Amino acid sequence: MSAVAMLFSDLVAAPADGTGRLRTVGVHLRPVDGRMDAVLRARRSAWSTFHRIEAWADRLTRFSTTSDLARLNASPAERVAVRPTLAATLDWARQAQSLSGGIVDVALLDARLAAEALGSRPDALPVDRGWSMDRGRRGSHIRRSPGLRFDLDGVAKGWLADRALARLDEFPGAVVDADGDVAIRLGHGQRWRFGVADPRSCGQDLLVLDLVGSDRAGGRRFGLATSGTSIHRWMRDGRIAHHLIDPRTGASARTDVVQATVLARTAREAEALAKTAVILGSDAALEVLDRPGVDGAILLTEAGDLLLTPGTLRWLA
Amino acid sequence: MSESQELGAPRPPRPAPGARPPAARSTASTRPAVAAKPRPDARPLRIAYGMGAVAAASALATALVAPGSSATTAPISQVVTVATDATPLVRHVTQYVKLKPGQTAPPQAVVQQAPAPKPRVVVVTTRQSGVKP
Repeated sequence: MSAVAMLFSDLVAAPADGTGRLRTVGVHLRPVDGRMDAVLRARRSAWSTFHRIEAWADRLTRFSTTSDLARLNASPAERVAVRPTLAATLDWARQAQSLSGGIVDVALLDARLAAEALGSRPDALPVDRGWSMDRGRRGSHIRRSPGLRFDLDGVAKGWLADRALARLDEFPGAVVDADGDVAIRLGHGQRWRFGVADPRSCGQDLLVLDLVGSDRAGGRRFGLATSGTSIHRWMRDGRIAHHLIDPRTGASARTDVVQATVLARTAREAEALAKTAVILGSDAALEVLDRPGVDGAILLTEAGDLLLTPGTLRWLA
Repeated sequence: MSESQELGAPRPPRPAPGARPPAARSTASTRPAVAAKPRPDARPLRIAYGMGAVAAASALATALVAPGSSATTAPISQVVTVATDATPLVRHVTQYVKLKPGQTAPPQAVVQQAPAPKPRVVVVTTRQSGVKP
């Protein structure tokens, strides 16, 4: 078995213990060469990065009462000090809100919990969802209306994937899979294939993307992320709700898009735009995705249609 | 003039000033004088040594000043045997040199591009969160 194949078999899985931690994380590295010491170094880095992702995720989850995010949500104060990892993630959340035209909103935890309880209603939307962050030498502080609670969810996963990939610059090729949000760097001559899961049939791919590396310094970076309404979905008494909350209504988004996949420069951008595409629906999504920095997008509609942006065609395997 | 000078025998060396006189040898005066044998001519051997040294120096100089080849990888030979109408077999020998990064092919050499690497199998599948890969 070659050294590369040995590493590819190292799909590291975190325990599915229901605590809300990232349930599946994969770190894939291509060693500098096939020598055993290079292979072992890559293996050590893969495991080290995996554990680092777990540590970050433990600070950002809302499912643990001891996480930084849980402390922020539980604080009755208007101004709350936050540690660097949470501050950096919230900083990106602010940018994602701008990137998505306000569709990505991390201050919707109560609305999401209402949707899970099938009590989706506009009054679940906090009246004042405004918040700001001061980042200074003496640390970072969040200022928001008391009681406003945050849910980082996919925003944190995309950020984690990109942050972890940045730790792996010494390797010619690296992939970090943070529960479906994937940060990719490919070097010269590298061609790796990435599947886009079909939500209608387990283990099947809708299509496969064939990504090619670059000979420029640092390789070529991609971000690949998928969002949809078919997994976190609840139904009771004929009513259906899902976890993607439309900030304009405070309820589960009414959309014809079952799943959206976006190929962009970073995993966090791809995640934000994929979520935006699902919430907006196919017509508006195709307009939003026609922008610089988006290398491709694949939308699966309720009717079973597969919509691709023109730039996607060059990546099809 | 002494007797020994008359016979043409070589003189014994003079003792150095202050040196102790040699011990008396009891047989010296009794051994008869013998004429020295003619020594062989050293010139042919010297010439042979000289030619050898010139040859070694020439080989060393050739190794030092020889131009470096553009590709240091050992050539790979492929022998193709072609049967022609005139029966003797013609053996075409093609030499391939695999260039390393940064090396350039010699002028007039035919350069073949290496085949593109085969795509790998699917490394990762992007999916909605909460789905096992």
